[in-house]
Amino acid sequence: MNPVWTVLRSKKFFIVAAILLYCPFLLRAQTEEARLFEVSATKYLMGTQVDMLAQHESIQSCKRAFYEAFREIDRIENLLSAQRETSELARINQYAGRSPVKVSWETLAIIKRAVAYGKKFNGHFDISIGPISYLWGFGWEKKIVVPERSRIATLLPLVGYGKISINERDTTIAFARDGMKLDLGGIAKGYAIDCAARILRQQGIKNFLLNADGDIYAAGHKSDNQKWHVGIQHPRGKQALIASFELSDFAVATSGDYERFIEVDSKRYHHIFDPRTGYPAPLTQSMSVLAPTAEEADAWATYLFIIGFEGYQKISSPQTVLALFVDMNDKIHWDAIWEKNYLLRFLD
Amino acid sequence: MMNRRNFLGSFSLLSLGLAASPAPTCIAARAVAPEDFCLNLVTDDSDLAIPLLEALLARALSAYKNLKFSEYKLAGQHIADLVLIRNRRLLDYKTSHDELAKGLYEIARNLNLPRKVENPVLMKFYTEDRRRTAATLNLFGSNILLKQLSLTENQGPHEVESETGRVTFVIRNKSVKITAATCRHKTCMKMGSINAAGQSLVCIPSRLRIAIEGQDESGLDGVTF
Repeated sequence: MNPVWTVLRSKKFFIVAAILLYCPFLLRAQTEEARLFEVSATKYLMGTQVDMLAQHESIQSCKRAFYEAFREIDRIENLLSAQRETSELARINQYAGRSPVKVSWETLAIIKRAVAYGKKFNGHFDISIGPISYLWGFGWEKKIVVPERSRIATLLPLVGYGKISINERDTTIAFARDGMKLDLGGIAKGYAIDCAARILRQQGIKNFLLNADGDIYAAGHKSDNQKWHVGIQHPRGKQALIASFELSDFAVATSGDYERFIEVDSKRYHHIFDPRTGYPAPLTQSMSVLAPTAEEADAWATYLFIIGFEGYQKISSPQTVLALFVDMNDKIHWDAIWEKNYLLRFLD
Repeated sequence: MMNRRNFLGSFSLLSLGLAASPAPTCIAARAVAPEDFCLNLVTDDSDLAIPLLEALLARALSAYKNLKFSEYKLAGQHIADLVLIRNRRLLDYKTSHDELAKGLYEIARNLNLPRKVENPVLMKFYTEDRRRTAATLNLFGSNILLKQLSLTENQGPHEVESETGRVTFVIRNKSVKITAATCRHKTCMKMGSINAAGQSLVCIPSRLRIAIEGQDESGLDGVTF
């Protein structure tokens, strides 16, 4: 028998032909059903407002995923918040100056990474800044004051990432001196956002934007042909913006002198301290960093805010981040690649 | 206590404001302009309501590819009901005969609406109308919608309170400003005044948020600061 005729008469041929015939209809039906809802939710965690926004076909799945992601942030806050008395970090701050404190592997790992940032950034980023930030009062339920110079000088010897002892074998943290305190404010929020983003992805949410007090991670797209659209706040114009840009599978964080500050005798004192002086870093009004993860963006933003634009220009090694500065003379400096690849647009 | 009339009054505030604004007069322009759609549902059974509404909106509003959804808890006793605003008009789904109205009628029957409920949620399905002017102020405490106010008339000082604090604010010339707060650092008072859709004033220690309904004209999804 003719082999072509044999194939045409076979059962398999009819099945394949039927699938091929119905395929366009099936695909069309699927695309017609792919309605997306833009689902949003807000919660107060880590001492700030956390917003989640996602594009997804099922509102219920999205709500479940948000619930899990919020729970993850709450879990991390329970580990790393210095203000929560029961957290691992609070325990470290209370006892590590006297004897090594046993911690979870997760807490140990983030402290290890934070110390590595300290080394990489030549001590301009230092999580042992705790005694200084507590003295000023920013972020604590106490009055914000400009401390006496002598008091700052007394506490400065307690600052230094080299005085933190990390024992990986015993998973313990110890301080070289009693009175030292860790402040993970420059990294914990970014880490929590990254963990929440991982949870959302695990729950099948691919297109979302997480915003915790201005630290943002955006995944995927807002719609088929549109990335997420993010603005950068003006450091002096209240509720005004300086620029906007597109964001997808990347994070942005901003450090500024305008969110938490006091003015004494017309002088502004804000909450980002130079670990070498114990005083607010004086070179920058605002600095935004674009990075692959929120943790990196968070740490880099603190570091670059402290060293300022001129310091940034002196960094010779290739960087994985992009920067935008507003210096003390209201002048804006930015990486050209940000403008080119992320459609950075300045607003009037 | 909120009765049905008050409920409709408060949630149709925006629609009345919009209805009072000049309607588009050019038919061609209306045909190309995106349709304005807002469906508010107060219910104590969101697990039942959401799949029903998802399915109905997929059938009856196939032209919309991206509808927005948000959900807020409401404190106290409310009247569970549906309110539909379409093209800036409050529509009575009980007397309309299109597929959407019939579907909503069925959903209302399934949810046993209207009726009194305790601590329900307010669900909103809506398109973002960027032509919309800032008209409604939402007051949230720990993300529970406490109150809605009109932004179009001078009001206050008003006080809004949560378990952890209290703020005082005024509405003047369609702008809102926090004038006093019980929190220690008064950061919310330093935020100045807001007047555009999508902007908000937040007092973190008190967990209070004063937000102007809608999205800002630039259509931003977030702001880094």
